Amino acid sequence: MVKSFLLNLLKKLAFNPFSRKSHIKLGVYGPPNGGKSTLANRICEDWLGETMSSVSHIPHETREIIIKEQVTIKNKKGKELTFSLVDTPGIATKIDYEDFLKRGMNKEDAKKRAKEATKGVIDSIEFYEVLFKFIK
Amino acid sequence: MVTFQFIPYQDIENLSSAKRINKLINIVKENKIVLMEGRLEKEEEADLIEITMEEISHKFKGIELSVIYPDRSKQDFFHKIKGGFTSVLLGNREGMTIIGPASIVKKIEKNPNKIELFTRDK
Ligand SMILES: Nc1nc2c(ncn2[C@@H]2O[C@H](COP(=O)(O)OP(=O)(O)OP(=O)(O)O)[C@@H](O)[C@H]2O)c(=O)[nH]1
Ligand SMILES: [Mg+2]
Repeated sequence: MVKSFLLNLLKKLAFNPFSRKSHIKLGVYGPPNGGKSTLANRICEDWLGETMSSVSHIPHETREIIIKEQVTIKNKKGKELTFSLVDTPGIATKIDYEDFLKRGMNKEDAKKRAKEATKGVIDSIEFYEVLFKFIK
Repeated sequence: MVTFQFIPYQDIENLSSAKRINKLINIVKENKIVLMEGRLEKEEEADLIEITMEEISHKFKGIELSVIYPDRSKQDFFHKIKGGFTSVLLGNREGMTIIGPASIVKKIEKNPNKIELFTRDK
């Protein structure tokens, strides 16, 4: 689901990416553990040679919005496109504290992760809503 | 034991978004599964998730949520030719929303012909 959404987005960008100069925010949205940070890292590594987010098999690894400003990509003709890349916490309707325990986390870390994850979800939704209103 | 509470569309039709969401959350927090006629606005769904996150505690793990459109393929076709005419008439009455506490509902699976709700083994 995330993937096809992103592929579509990337396709759209790839279709006509160098024709406008306005500032673009490329946000990665989706459920926890969907590979958002992996994708954001991939883009970042390809064009800046650095990673931006931490990746984990345990859900809710990203619990804060991470923005990488000034990612510039160039096409063969030398035209440039600069955008900010935004990696967001996975949006979930539940936070399973016990799932963290099952994955070998200790009680304290699991509690902390659950608490931060709830905030992360709220931040993601709010960021998305602002962006959405802006687009509208 | 699993308890369902049915909410007909007229029960929420005239409520403000905040009241509507509150009503749903309160039922779910009583460990019941809500079967609501119709569906929430996109913004309401976002608010519902936000409020859910604020309420999460050791006792309340969150929700499972699913929206079902009966006969979606036909509806889409109808929408295409009528340009959204049906949704003007029916508003958000079309479809059905299921919301359950995550401690009880493991997942809700939608198939074209049936809905399956899986509960957790205690
Ligand atoms: N098989 C496979 N695994 C992937 C792919 N992309 C990411 N993963 C794995 O999926 C897991 C989650 O990846 P993340 O990039 O951390 O996912 P996320 O969407 O950022 O997750 P949250 O930050 O928790 O919301 C990691 O173990 C990744 O190695 C992929 O394309 N294929
Ligand atoms: Mg992540």
